Order: sequence, then structure tokens, then C-alpha cells
Amino acid sequence: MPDSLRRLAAAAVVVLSTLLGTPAAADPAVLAITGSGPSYADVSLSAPLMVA
Amino acid sequence: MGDGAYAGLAVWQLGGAKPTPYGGVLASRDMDAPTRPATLGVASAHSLVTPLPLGKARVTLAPGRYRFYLLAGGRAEIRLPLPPGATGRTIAATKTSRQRYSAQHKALGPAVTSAALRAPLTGGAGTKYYAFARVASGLTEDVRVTACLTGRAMPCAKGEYVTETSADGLTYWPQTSGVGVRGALLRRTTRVARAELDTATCAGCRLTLIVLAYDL
Repeated sequence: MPDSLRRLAAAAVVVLSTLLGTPAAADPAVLAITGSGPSYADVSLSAPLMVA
Repeated sequence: MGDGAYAGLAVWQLGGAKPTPYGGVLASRDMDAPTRPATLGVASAHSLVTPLPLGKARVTLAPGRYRFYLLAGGRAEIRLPLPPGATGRTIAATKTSRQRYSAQHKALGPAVTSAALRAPLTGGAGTKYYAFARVASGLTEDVRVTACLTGRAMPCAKGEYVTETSADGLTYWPQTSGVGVRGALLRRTTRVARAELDTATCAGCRLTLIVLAYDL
């Protein structure tokens, strides 16, 4: 794969991770919402998500 | 929790004609020490509070678009348990939201059997409000604490959005009430958040009213 395509693919992964959330390494059974001060995030779920 | 006075989460589903609330949770240093989460409910027009499931029990978010509001006065991380075997995820709330938070306290003398606190509400059509009333005491008896959103000089009993909790003489935990309302109704008249306490005996009681508002 050419370098330009590889960089584009990496950028796409970063964007998708930002939109959908990144895997939490510390606790695999937690949905963590983080931030600093009043803020929000828009999230698209492609599958059902069960939370407590 | 985080390093601010409060921390919590409110979830709304997007994509329909109107955003649909999924409730949320809120912990505040002004309510409890140590802090513990209180469930956020949302009132429908002209009806009492209907607690929504998030924070009460397991709830399944259907596929779709959601907005996660981080309710926080500083850095915060809200952790929602996932079912065993699920893959953990982290969502970073990076878009700035406008929020207002206020807390009032009133210490009651030994002979006082009722008290009230009030806070005027200001906001726009998209503003959402949560009002919490809590009484903290080492010894309480026959305590009723009420939170409501009501008219300028009206008691909670005549308010449109009222919730209350009652405790018998054996209850030593602080009691709390919470209520939320759609801000569009504020265009009709001036409203206030109000906390009321009625008790037979409440030695060293302290009544607290907390109001949190954010723009959807």
C-alpha cells in the first residue's frame, strides 16, 4: 500500500475512533464518558448498547 | 466524580422530531459527602415526574444517534457499567456546552418544622432544568422534602412539576427529590425552583436546593 493511502487509512481510523469512542484499556466492562467542564459528545450506535 | 462541585451525565436520543431523554445521573458535593449519584428524571407536560431508566436499572440504547451531556464543573469521568464480557469504551465529550449550577443551604433551628428555598429560573426554549431538594441531618423524624418547579410565589403543592420523598423516624439517610422540565414552558410565565421541608423533628437539619440547567 502506498504511504499516502496508509496515512489516509490511519486518519480514517482516528476519525472513526473519535466519533464512535475508543476502546477503554483500563476497564473492559465500563462505558466511560470523560471531559473537562460542561460539554457533550454526539455518538452513533450501530448496535444496541446495554448500560446501567 | 471529578474535581468540580458536581458531575453527571444526561443522555438524549437524536434523530426524531424532538430529542428523546434517557435521563441520567448526577452527583454533587453540595448534596452528599461522600458523594453518591442521584437519578435524573424528566417531567412531561402537566404530569408528575417520570423517572427515566438510566441510573435506575439496566437500559438498552437502541441503534441510533445520541448526545451525551457531561454535566460537570471541572474535569470528570462518568463510568457506566456494561454487561460482563462487553468491550469497554471511552467517549470524550469535547464540544462545549452551556451549563449553570447553583446550590443554596439553610440551617434549621431545633424548633423549626418547615422551611423553603427558592431559585429563579432563567433560560431559553432549549434549556433543561433539574432541581434537587435534600435534607441532611443526624436525626430526623417524619420528614418530607419536596422539590418542584412552580410559579413565582406558589408553593410546591400548586406547582406543575412536583416530586417528594417521605421518611419515617427510623430513616437517617438524607432524603432527596429531583425534577426536570422542558424549558419551552418557561416562555409562558416566570418560574422558580423550590425546595420545601416539613418535619415533626429535625435536629440540626440543613435543607439544600440545587439547580442545574443546560442548553440542549
